[in-house]
Amino acid sequence: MNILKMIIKTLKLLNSNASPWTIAFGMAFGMLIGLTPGFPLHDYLFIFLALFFNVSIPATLFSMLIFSLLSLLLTAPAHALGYRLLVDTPSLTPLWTQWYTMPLLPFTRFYNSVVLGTTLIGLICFIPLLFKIKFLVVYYRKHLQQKVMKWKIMQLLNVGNWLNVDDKLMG
Amino acid sequence: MKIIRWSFVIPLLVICVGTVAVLLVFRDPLIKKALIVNGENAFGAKVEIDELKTTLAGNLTITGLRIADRNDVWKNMADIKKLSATVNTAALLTQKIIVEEANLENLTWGTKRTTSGALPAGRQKKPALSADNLLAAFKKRFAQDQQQAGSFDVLANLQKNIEEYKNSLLAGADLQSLRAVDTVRGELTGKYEEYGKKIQQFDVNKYTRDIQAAIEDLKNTKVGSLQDIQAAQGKLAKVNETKKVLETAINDLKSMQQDVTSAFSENAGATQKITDAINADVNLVSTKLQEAKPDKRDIAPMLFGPEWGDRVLTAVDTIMFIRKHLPPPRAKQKITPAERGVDVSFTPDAAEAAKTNTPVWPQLLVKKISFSASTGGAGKEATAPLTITGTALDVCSEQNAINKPLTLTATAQRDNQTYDLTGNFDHRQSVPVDTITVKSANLDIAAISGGSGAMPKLAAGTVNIDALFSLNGDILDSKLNLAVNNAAFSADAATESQKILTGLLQGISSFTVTATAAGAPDNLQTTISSDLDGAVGDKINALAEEKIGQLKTQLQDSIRSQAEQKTKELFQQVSGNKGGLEQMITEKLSALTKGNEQLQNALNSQTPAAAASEPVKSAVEGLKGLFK
Repeated sequence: MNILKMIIKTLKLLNSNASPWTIAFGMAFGMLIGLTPGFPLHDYLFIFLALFFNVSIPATLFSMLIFSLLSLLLTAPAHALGYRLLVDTPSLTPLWTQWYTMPLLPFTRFYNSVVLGTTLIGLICFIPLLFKIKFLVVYYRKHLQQKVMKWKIMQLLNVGNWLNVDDKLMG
Repeated sequence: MKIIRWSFVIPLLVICVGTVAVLLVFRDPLIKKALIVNGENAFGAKVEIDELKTTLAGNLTITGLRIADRNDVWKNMADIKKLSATVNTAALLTQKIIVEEANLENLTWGTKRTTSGALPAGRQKKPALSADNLLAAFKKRFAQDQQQAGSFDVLANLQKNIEEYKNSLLAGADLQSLRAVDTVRGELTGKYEEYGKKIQQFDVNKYTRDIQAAIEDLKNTKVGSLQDIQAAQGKLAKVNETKKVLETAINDLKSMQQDVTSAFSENAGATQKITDAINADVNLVSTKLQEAKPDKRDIAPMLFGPEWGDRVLTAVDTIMFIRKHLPPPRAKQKITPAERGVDVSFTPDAAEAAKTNTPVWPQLLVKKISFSASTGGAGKEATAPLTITGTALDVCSEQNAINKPLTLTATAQRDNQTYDLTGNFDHRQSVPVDTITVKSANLDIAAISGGSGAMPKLAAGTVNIDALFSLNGDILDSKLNLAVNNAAFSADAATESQKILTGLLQGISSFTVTATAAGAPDNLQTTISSDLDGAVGDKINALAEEKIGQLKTQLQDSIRSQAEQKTKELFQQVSGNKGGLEQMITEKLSALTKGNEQLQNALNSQTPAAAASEPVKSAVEGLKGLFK
């Protein structure tokens, strides 16, 4: 039920006047948070950033959901990447050792192969995803929105109700 | 469009501040709960904290900390009245626990609990093994050494059970003298039977009948004619023949009588034979006693071996306890499986960190622990406990990270006794090297008062102790130098061995003992030497000689007594046999002599007729000559 609500809100958001950048940043932050298993320290930083800056919360939550599911598929490559950097790259060992003894950094769980791998994948994908989402939102609104809004299911879901209170909060 | 969502920032700040405030206000119960839960998981038994207080500056004070012993849930593994520590709060941000200084007050262990220290069934752990394999191996070796060193029991038994020892020796000796008596008895019995048979075979009746027949013939002899003369002569000749046979028989009997007297005489060689056998027995037993004499061994291993073994094992046990809780050096990278992926831990290298001036924090470091402890406590024996005060430096989970070993200095006191203890536990290399030293000067002799085993109790004196116990991996290297001065041994001896030794040690006021134990458990070499070895060893051997001499005399007397008693019984029996034979001979001799006399009388009564017949006989012979 909550997932359905989240999807409805995301659709409403797409069809709203909200800035495409807001939606794109929300999706990008959600990806960073959703990809990493658990909630290491840097996830709290991303959550804080998502709340502090005026990015779309529904988009962030929707993205977290999608990418946390996707991260399960990414576990193997993320582990391979993290393991390669943590163990198989001796030149980085001093860096990791230093981080391991630095304040707060151990709480990021960077020493876990999957956390490091997914975080790096997330950071690498952050900018491309940001632009891609922004492009997709603009494209949707320009070419697809009218057609989609005519779908009965969209009317049933009352996606076009602009007076939804959540829009004001999460716009 | 606003970039910053101010409507969220203020509630977020409020929530954050509120959370921090709650954590700050309730930090003490939360930390207490966390310590109890984690402690119980680590120790597998109940952990109790009476009171816990912290400050934001990182000061921690725990009052009444009790950790139950999972192997004996009615005892405390540790009971600390007060623990205060200063924790480096900055290090907490790196997930490390760095304690700048800790102070343990009134630490006791093995104290009695009023409630069970067992955890609920689901949280219990298996009891820890009572003895470490290495410790068990050393224990076995020391037991073997002690067995080889021997004890004073042989000497004590020689003194105490001399009678029993003598009897056992006699029983197992197969004495020649007793066998010689039996042999002589057999020989004399044979002779007795032989002579008895001979005497029985001597038919007196036959001789009597011959005599009577001869006498009758003589009586019936009448010389009336020439033919009668010839017949008479024939009868006389026959009677004379009978008499001759009779006299021969009498002589035989007399000869037999002499033989019997001679054969059964005590001086007939039997006595000498038995005496020779007794002497041979005495020599045999003397030889056996020399064999039974204890070997000349050094007494130090017998006196101090058990005590030395106990001390070394206690030191090894202590080292093994520290090793168990002070892990070996980790690899620079340690990979452990996680829920997803792997966790890689990185151990900082102190030497490398020093080059870059980087602060290095291991997972756990207590830079300094000051402690006061006692070997006493609730439920312990009433003997005066040792009070221990000391300092431990650099208690660290990864010694390589700080490049320092754990060091320990402590002073243990009981009344006027003071021991200085040091420890160095170096786990920076793959093979740990742990060393404990114990030193004490002018210690009251009560510290090694003896009174147990063979060692007599020392009533007065002082002792200097200098001991080192080192375990390099599994290789033990331990040394002890003990110097006792102004010693006086108590006359209060608990055992026979102590009594003997007390006598031997009188006059010795100072002595030294040097003990070593070195090597792996399967090749442990132990030595214990003392100047008592020379001084008392000779005395012990002289004492053994003396005891053996006494025993020898007693054994000789006993052998002689036994053999002589048996010989006496033999000769009483022989004397009876001899009397019987002599009586038989005498009776027969008497009968024959009587018969001989009768025969002689009969011959004498026939002499006139015989005389008359002689002229007739001569005339007849003359006439015969005429007619030739």
